[in-house]
Amino acid sequence: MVDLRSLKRTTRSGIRDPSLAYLVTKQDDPEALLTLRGRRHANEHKVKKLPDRKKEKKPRKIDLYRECKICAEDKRGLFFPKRPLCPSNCSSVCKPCYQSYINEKFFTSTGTPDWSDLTCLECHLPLLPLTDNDLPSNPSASSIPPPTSPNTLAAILPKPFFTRPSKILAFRINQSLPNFRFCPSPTCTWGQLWPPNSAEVTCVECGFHYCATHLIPWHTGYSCARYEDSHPGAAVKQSSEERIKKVGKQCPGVGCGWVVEKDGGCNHMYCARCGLNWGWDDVKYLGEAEAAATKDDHNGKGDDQGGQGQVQQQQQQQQQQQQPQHQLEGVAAPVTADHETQQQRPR
Amino acid sequence: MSQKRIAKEFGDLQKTPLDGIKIILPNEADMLQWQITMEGPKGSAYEGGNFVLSLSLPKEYPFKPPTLSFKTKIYHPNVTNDDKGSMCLGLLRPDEWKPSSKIDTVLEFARGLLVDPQPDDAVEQGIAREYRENRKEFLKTAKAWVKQYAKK
Repeated sequence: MVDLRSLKRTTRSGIRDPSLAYLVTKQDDPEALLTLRGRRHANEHKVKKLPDRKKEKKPRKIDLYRECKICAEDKRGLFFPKRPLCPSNCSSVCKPCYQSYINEKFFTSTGTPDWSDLTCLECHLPLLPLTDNDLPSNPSASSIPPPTSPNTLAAILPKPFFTRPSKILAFRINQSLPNFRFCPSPTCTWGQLWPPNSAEVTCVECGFHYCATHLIPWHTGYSCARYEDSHPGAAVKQSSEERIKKVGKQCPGVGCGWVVEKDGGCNHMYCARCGLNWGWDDVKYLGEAEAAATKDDHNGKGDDQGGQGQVQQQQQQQQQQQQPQHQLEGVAAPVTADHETQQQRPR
Repeated sequence: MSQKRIAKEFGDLQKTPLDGIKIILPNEADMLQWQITMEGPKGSAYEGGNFVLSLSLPKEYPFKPPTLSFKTKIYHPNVTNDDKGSMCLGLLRPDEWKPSSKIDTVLEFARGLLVDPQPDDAVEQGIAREYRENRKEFLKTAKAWVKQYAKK
């Protein structure tokens, strides 16, 4: 209550006040305090009142600890969204959990992810759409188109978090386009749309300057044709193509045709690109499928027209798809979880 | 990641265990690998058997679903008949999994699948066909397997 040091100071300066000592010794006795002189009394009043005032003050909502229903941790109110995210005003899931949830959704969701697929983690209703004011003015790099859906969670998420998913969303949209390719730099996981006429590309993410035909650093001073003349063997490319034919199967989805490798789990496959459910055993390995297709061509008795058309389409797509697969060779085989195969993915 | 949530769910399941389900951690330091001993439900083809399952939680749990596999061989249309024994649970599909789902729901569901196999969502088509068309033969084989592999 009364600092003993201040008492010392007063005595040193020469003012000897016996009541001060009295105050210290009898501070716990309110009756004794009443007998003090006015000034001392006022001081004591101040000292006594202070903690009371603190106690009376209502704790702010952001200081109160609550348990998050998802991560089960007690967190300060600060960590929970300020405004309701869903129509039923649920409020017991923390912001970091929502962030992880959205991150996961972006990496594992099927087809092209959409902000409107996100649901409340408590009541599973779709999250409230936000107004245009919630959108940041400059969401992503200029070469990547901004996300098409305006429904975002920008308001509850920190800004750096928002810019990343919107970039990834744009990335995923681009990925579905035929002239999308991954950057061949081993340290870069980005990709972009390649120009149709020129083979010289610079990665927008890492700045790697490369040749889009050969997937090597740009051969300065050589045209693609001249480079091929002096480097005839693309042995590595050949062998990886063979391996893909051996271990890979194509998603049978019409217009999909992603090459998939199965590394575990049951035979129930779930295409991460088009969302089709298919059985691993019902689909042929790439090599076999190709052999069967050529055999049919030779004999002149293929399947019905629709079926053959699909095989041809798949072959075309396979050529498009194989190039990104080379990047994965030697780095990591595509991961397969139960029911789902994850193919090439951004970080 | 969510060590606390996993610890809490494990604690809850130890405190109020599910009927006929025992859970242990094979490695005390690793909360992500659970070993489950499930008794074959009464009245089903698997009655009298003791099945060992392994439940592995991803690092991203609860945002990614856990995987459940049978270590004991079982004759069931929804469990693969190989050394992995993967189980096909709709609940555990990445697109159907909800972060608010809990492990006890998963285990209850797996137990429900032992009582009522779902041949329409089968991974073993042969067994599913037999289950649908020749129930007697299916029950006979299932019981024989229980005797052979899952005896207490």
